[in-house]
Amino acid sequence: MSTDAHHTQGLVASFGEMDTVDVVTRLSALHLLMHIAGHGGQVLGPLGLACAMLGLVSSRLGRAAGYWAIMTVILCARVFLDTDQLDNHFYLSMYWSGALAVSLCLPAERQADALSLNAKWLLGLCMLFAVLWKIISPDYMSGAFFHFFMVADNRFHDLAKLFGGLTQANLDHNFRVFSEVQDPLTPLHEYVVRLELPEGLRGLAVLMTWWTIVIEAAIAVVFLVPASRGIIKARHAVLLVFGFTTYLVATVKGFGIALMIMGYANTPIEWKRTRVAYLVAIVYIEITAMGVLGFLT
Amino acid sequence: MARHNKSEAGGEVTRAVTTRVTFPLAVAPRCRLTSVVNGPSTGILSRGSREEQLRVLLAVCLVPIILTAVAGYQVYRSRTYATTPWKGGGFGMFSTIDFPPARVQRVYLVLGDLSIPIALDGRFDESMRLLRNIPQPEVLSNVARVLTEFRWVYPADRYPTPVPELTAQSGADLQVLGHGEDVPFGFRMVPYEAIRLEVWRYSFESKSAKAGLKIMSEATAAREYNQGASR
Repeated sequence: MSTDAHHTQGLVASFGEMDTVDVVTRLSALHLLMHIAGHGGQVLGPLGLACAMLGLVSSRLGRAAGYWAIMTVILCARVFLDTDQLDNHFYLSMYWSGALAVSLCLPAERQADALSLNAKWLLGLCMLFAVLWKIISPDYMSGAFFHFFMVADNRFHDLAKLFGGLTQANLDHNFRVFSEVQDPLTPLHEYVVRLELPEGLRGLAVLMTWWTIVIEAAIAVVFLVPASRGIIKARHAVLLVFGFTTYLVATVKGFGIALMIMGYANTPIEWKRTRVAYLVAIVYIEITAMGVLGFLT
Repeated sequence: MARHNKSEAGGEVTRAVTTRVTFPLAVAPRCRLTSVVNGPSTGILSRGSREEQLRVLLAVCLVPIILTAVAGYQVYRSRTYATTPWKGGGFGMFSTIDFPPARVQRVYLVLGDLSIPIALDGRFDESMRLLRNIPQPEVLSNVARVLTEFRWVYPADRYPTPVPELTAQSGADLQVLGHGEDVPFGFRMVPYEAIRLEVWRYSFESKSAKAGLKIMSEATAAREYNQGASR
């Protein structure tokens, strides 16, 4: 028992003592390789993948500002070509790549701090905008968004089955309705959308509505207000809770992993357990994206 | 003003203390520039000459400022041009049921009082995606105008009369021809007068649990010349 504990402590210590910039650059290159760089058409896609691969295998390259500047240009080009099609985690990863480029321009002893501050601002601002959008959206504040989305988006079906009373028969019926609406030959002027929504779904939707906006607002606040010891502790506690709860359901691993890498970059070097928690969270998000809830339904 | 806090919070807190400066940037040339950026938490980034501090300030502020500008612009675009909050870098995902797959378009061939909904093939995916993303009447008008340059044909054996008796359900029988493509044997051209486009989105009322569809935008473009039903 004590040997196990000793081994665990040793593992935590060895993970925690790794060079921040080295870990962050490798994780970022891996993240871009797995989730982002491939989405770039016939030229930018392979170019981005090759670039991410190089950064992953070469520590020296991964720590070069020029390398991250090139990566940022590739991702920016993609954004210019497809502004309205790209998901927000593409934008966030592009910003993070840019943050790596500008931070690595600084002298070596300042790079980790610059990365930490960039991570703090990017995390706080992206959550702030996420909360603002929710507040100004009538769909969201009325609970309509999650109520509808749990039947419309298959990522939420398992949750709705487990806790909202949704059945496979409901899903099959709703799928037929959505397919009819998508059919270009179906006239829509007189069309009545008749979805099957069990009673329990509304309560679950209300719970998810408030949980999401409260935790996102909490992240925005703790990352944007000036730091104190308590605030710094709260930052990482809230961000990790967000990572371990949200991505069990909303399997947007590109966004979740980008947030966890930034959380890692923002963690004080002395906080080894917190750093390890972020590494565990990254693996967890990758695994839950396979649809863990589906095994329970 | 400075107090040294050797807490386990490490970096940010312990370094912060020597940099608690309250002077505005413009009137305090010797103040620690980065403290303006991050309050009292940027100690190590505040060391060095003014030039070094400016470099640090740039490295720490540039990307967050770009994020804010892009996200702010996306909020503006979404409100002005009805682009979906889910895309475009504004972090509006999971905030509204107006997400891209929940927008659908309809394309009609107009013949007098008759409107025939038609299906377009993969060649038109890009333009359909554009009008769903930016469903402004101007965009719809432009796309509709381009579509009027195409010809649609119907199988002559199903509509044998000289003036085809097409109905609102005839869309499944119609085919679009590419530019320069010959009319296939046994087909005739549809003598349509205009193209109408519509973009719809879902609506949902949570209390009554009722879903519906509402039109976001529509436009009609008249055909510049009618090629008739012959041939």
